[in-house]
Amino acid sequence: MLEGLLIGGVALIILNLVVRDQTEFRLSRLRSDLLALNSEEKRLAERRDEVELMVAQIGEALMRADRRQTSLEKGCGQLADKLELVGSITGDDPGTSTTEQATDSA
Amino acid sequence: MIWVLAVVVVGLIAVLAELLLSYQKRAHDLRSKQDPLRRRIRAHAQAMEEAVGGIQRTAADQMEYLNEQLQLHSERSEQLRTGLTQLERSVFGEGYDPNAPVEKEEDDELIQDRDPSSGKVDEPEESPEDLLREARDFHRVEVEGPRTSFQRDLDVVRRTLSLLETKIRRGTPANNKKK
Repeated sequence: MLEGLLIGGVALIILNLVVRDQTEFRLSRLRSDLLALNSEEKRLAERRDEVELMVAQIGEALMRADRRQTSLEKGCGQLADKLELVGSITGDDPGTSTTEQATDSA
Repeated sequence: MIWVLAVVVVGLIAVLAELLLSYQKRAHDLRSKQDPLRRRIRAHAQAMEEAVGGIQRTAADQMEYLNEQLQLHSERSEQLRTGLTQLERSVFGEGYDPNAPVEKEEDDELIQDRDPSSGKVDEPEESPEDLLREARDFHRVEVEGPRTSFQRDLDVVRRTLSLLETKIRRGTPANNKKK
């Protein structure tokens, strides 16, 4: 009986030590996973901000380009009119007939 | 002696149980902290994917049209410039330099043409020379200026899209690995 209790006691001490080591190891792995997830989340949040900024820049540039395309079209039309006017005064052909075709095709 | 040993053994069993319970609790706490982080990571990835996909589709549609328009307007601008140059040659003669500074004339006369009774200025009929100078300035400011800016905007779009694709490509393997 005494021997059995002694052996059992020693075995329990060894078991406790093994369980404690394994527990600490698993907990430290979970902690490092959590830290990695945390830093990954921060990295993705920063990247998301950057991506959203770039998307906004692209959208603005597209809108600006569209506005400039309209003003360019208007400018070409007005310049063609001016050249026509000068041509009608001087009697020269300003060569805007091709530009009118371009306007029509546009 | 037996009683002492028996108490020690029971104590060791209690310590073992306490260790296991403590591990369960701490592991559960750590796992429960991971879930919101995983959800946020998924939300970030999804939001980026949607934003990039949306802008890429929009840009692809608009860029095709805008590039065509740029080419068209560049050709038209060139035709107008040629027409303008031809008219300048016929009005000012060969060897005319449109970039040469223009001497201001008759400023005083123009001021004297004011009609005080009506409060308006009598605008003299513009000569072809004035009209051509005006047209040259107009071409520079209202045609070439917007055309250059238009081209620059399209370049900005292309460059930013390329940067965006690089950024997304670089981020993809890390995202997948963590998922």
